[in-house]
Amino acid sequence: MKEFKPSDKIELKVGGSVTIKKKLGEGGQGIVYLVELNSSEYALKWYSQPCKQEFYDNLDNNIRNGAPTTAFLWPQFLTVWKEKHFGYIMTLRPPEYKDFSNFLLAKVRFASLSSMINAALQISNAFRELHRNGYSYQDLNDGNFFIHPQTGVVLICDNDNVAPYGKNLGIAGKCRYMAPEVVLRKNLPDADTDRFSLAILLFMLLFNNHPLEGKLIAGVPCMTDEMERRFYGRNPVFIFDPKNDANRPVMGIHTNAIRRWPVFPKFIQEAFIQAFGNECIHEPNKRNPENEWRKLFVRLRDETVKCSCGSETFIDVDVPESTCINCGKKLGKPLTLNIGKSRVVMFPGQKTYNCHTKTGSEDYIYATGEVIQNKNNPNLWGLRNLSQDVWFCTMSDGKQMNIKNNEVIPVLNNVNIVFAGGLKGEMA
Amino acid sequence: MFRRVGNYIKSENMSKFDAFNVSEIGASHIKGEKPCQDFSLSSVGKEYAVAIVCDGHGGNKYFRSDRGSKIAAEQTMEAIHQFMKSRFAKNQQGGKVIDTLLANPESFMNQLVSNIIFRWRECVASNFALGKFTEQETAKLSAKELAAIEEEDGWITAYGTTLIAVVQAKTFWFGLQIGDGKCVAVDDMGRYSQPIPWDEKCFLNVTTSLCDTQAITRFRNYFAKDKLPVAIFVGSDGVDDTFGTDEALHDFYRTVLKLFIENGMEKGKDELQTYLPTLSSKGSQDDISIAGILMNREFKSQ
Amino acid sequence: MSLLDAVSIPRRTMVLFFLVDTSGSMNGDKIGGVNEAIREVIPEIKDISSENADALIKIAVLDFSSGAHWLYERPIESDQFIWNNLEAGGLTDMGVAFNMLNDKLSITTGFMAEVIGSYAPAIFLMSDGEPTDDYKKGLDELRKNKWFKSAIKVAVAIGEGANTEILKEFTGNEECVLTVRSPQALRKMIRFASVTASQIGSKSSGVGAGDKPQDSNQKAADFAGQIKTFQQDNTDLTDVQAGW
Repeated sequence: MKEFKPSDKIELKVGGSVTIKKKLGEGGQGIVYLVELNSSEYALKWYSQPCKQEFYDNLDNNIRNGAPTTAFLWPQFLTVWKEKHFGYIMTLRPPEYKDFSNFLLAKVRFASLSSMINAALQISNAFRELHRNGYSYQDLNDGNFFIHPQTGVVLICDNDNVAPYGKNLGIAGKCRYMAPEVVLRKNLPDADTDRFSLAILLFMLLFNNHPLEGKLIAGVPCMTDEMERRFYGRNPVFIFDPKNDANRPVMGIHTNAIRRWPVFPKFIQEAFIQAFGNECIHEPNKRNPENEWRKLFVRLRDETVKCSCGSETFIDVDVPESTCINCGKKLGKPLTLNIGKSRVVMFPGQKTYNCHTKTGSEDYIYATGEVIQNKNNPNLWGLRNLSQDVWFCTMSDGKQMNIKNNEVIPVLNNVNIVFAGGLKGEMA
Repeated sequence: MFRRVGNYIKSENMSKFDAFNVSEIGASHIKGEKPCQDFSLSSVGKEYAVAIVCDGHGGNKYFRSDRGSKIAAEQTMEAIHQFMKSRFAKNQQGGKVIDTLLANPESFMNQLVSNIIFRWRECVASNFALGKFTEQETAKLSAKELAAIEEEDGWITAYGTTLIAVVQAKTFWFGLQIGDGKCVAVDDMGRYSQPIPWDEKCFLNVTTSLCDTQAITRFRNYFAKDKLPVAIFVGSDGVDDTFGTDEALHDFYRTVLKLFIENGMEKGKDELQTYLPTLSSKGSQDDISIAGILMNREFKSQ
Repeated sequence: MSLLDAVSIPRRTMVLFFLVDTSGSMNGDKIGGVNEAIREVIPEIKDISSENADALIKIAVLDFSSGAHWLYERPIESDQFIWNNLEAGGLTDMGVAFNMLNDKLSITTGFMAEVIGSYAPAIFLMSDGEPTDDYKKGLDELRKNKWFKSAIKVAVAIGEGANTEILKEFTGNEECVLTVRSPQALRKMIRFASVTASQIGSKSSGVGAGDKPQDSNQKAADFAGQIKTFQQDNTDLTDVQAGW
């Protein structure tokens, strides 16, 4: 199938047509063009190889159902068949979003820990919504994800390999992101295998290296199929497995993991140790659901503060003092707002969200409170109510205050807050 | 001279490889009582040939770089032999590794580079474990430099070296490089080029190194499966610093190629080896290493 | 007789740059002093060059007043360099001079193709006053240039009216900014600094490597050290001439 030229017209299944403007890029599966539809610009992905009807129908189905969330750059229109080929139209990805592989190669960096954590939250959430809608990913790789380095907002592309549970489109996928049972061809991709891939992706997001690639992988000059089956399928070993140091990361190759692992709090480390431990490797149904990852990253965000040196760092809420990972300054443990299991660090810039203050909410995006510094006395901190609800607060001396929208309650020991819906929080 | 080379290459039988390597201590190293810190290796087989040049760094704090460069060359050779052996392993979905390699070389190159870095690090670590730094070795270091090698990964700097390796097989060739020095390839039309991409971080006397903490990101490579070169030369920066411009460097290799064509491999190598001290003393003063792979041994008979 | 005997090995070269302020205020014994000093030092540099197996020294001169211009299109070998007296008059377009220097500090379009054997250049800036153009932009760009960064740099402030702050920004090291207050001091300083820069610059240095860039500035550090010692040993340099 020859490449299209500018001003070529391609007909859509729903009627009408798009006009080719220029070629944007090329990948393993096909070519992406910039096209015009009704005076707006879109992207057209055209498959280079002949396609199966099953694949066409799956896409058609997905288009009809719509994207699970706005994070997915979802196919919008199918084209008609041209000989054995076809393509689909999707919205253009804004140029500020960078391919995940650029982050891995350190060509692009996150503006802050917060943006990185936000990306982790978004990816976990996207997977959750995908699975809730009955889909599974089937062909994950680092080319699927585009991330805004400033905000951490994620756009997920290449959604043509998304298919309902149980259905398999026969996509090979990149072995590095596959669950062991898929590598060994024991299982077809499904939501459980997706969850393993998610754990890998999240690890790479935080530590910039693959969780199963250490000494063992570096020890072979050529990755044959047999090696892949061994290292990613039969006997994967986590590079930080506390009981098995056979696959430790190698300086010079896996320097990122070596440097970044000690920086993260224990609870994050433990989550990954578990995700790549024997149980989760061999028993797919024991893998962390996406929701659990969301909770972990919300907690990580709750413990992230901005040091006076300008960089962000983590506060360990269980010890009296934490050290800034950037400048080494010692930061005394601030008060935390304890609501249920959450402990939100009361440090200037920190926020509470619906998932903290609203009963039953999972919303980690909408901020309900923010810790601010008194303009006249920077040592006085307060929690400003950003929500529309009234907070019923009791100070340590028994004094009661009703804090409305935009009003501020001082951050002090033993302050109690009752949020709308009855959730109770205490500063301690 | 080139037309002759062109005519030879028209011949169908391209299965013969030749390779050579020469190294010589630099004039300034002799004066400064430093050992030769370059090391080179080459190897020839029926299926492929290999040429490797490693240049241990020269500053005071790189006092074991002669060991570093030797280990680098030896380990790279080993890794390449194993890599080439694996290329005929079967793929699960049919075909062999070599088919995937030719279609998608990048990940294979990265894997080979990882293995080389790993092997080098393990070997220098063993060497270090056998004998920590002596007072004599660290005598010339400043206080700052001494503190640096006491740091966790700091000791490895003393072994720092560059590396250029080229491999030529019947259906493909590739080159891997970290640091300075140049790889010059000659095509069948007699054109000279430097196919391995340059790293801007290598400038004047500063170079990237196998001991870098992010060495994997600083490796460059080149892979080609058609239009195989008739000759590939790799040289440490002692060579390219002597000639300054690419033009002068290519002219030099033109003469070297002619030398091998007219005199055969053995005599050519001997003459080149004999010439190296002159090259160093009149030129860069630095250690000199040159290694190369030539395509067809039958130059002389035609 | 081997084929290799016919290989021509180019002589290692290093480029010595003189950037000379020829603005109106330099008129009189200041420009006179510069002309004489450089004229006298060129034979000395030629001697260093011929005695030195390590490198051939080439010279490039840029004069700047209202605008700037190179004396010759290419750096000239010290034994062939002919000094034409510079004349003073006009403003002090130091920014333009920096831009033109930046342009030439490259291999592809500049003079650095002349450099064989990994030698950093030596750059000598002489000025008696304040720049009259936007020098900062030019200097910022220049300071990003990798040849400039690794060069040995020295600035001579001619008389009290020179802006030594800018000169310190140029050299990056206040020890390499020398103030001269008389024609004699000027001559002595030019002579010493260009001879020392040429000697240090044209010697093979221990090849530094690794991810630490300060290795490449050993020469610059050696140079600064020598200048310091020179200033300490030559206290008569502080004698002030009227009008300087």
